Amino acid sequence: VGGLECSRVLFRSKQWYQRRVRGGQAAKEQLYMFIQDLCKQNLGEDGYRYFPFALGLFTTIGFCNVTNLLPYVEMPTQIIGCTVAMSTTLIAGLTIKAIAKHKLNFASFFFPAGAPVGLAPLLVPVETISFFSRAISLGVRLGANLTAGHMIMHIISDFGAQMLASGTIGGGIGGAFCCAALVPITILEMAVACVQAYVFCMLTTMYMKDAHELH
Amino acid sequence: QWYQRRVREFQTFQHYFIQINLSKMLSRTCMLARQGAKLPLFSASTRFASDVAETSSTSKTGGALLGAGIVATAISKELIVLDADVLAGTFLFGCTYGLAKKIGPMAIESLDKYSAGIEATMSEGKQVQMQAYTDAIEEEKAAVASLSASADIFDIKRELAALEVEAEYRRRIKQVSVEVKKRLDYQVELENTKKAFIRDHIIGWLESEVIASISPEQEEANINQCIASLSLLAE
Repeated sequence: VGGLECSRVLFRSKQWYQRRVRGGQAAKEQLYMFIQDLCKQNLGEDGYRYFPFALGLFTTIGFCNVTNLLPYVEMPTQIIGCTVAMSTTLIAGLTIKAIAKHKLNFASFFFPAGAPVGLAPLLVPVETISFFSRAISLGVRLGANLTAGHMIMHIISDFGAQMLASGTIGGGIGGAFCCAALVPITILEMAVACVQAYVFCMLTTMYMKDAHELH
Repeated sequence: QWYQRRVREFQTFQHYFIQINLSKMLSRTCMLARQGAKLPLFSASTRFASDVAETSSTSKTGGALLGAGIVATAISKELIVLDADVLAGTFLFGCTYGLAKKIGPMAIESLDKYSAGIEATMSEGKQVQMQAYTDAIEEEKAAVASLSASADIFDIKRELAALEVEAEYRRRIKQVSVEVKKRLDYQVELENTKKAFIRDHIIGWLESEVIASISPEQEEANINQCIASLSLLAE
């Protein structure tokens, strides 16, 4: 669905020269230019060829995150297994691309430039673990944030519903407090849904840059 | 089998016919609602919705009461089970509505500004061209206004030429009068000179004749007389 939305955005954006730009189209163009600037910032002029992938990734994850907030709905981005699988696939693909491009020079990625050679026995394992932990951290960050937020919302709403259903005055007051607490939590979750999609997309572009240029 | 196939075909056609018409009615209803027309809820067709709405006495709270009734029925029959997710979903939609009300106008303003910027950029060339044409029209108008003064310039030049001719005429008249006076003065001078010659000649002749006419006896007597007069005066 995210891919279809991305295609619709791209297709519509080509038509903007032919008709007056309206509100919805202006919002989509803002999103389009936002991701385009992100790709250019992290990947340089050569980054425009990764832009369709980045836009599709952002749109898909953002759509899944926002839809996940609806009741009785569970989207793939909330399931940590799915997000970790997505991130692992990404990192594996980028590693293969980096090795195919840089061949043996890829090993220089695990030893930062300018570091003393004597620290190599310590730095190389640390850098290697850091590199391969990206695959897990990228996915876990997304899934854990959404899961934690969803869990907090579920706990507070469950608490509030039970207190309101108890039928007592104290329950009513407590339920009202829970409902009042639910408002900022909901707004926070909406923000987290959008921010996590952006963070995932941004980190992916940064890892692409590392695969391209090593450092 | 043929008959059953025809019945199935008709049922499929009926299903899609209803769906298509429902979607058309819904879109027409949304369009009329956006235009602010009052919609009767139980009208067969919305084509004359505005005409029907003017004479209809449907209350404004009808839609809200229907919605509330449906929700209450669904809750009572446990079609909607009130649990934590329903509460969370209610707050989600409430917060979305509230945010849309608060942030919506600002977002709309910024998007409209962005759209206006794009339109201004795209129409910049057209605006420059239009401004150039407007300036050219103003210049042409100014040129036409300046040309209207050229008729006065011709009159002024004509008057100047007439003045110059008059001045030349007077200069020549004066020159002629000066020349004529010079000649007349010459003639006068000539006459005066002639008269002077004549007078001098006559005076000289007279003197010479008078002197010639005086005898020595008369001269001596005159001198004696003068001496006597002087002696008398000396006394």
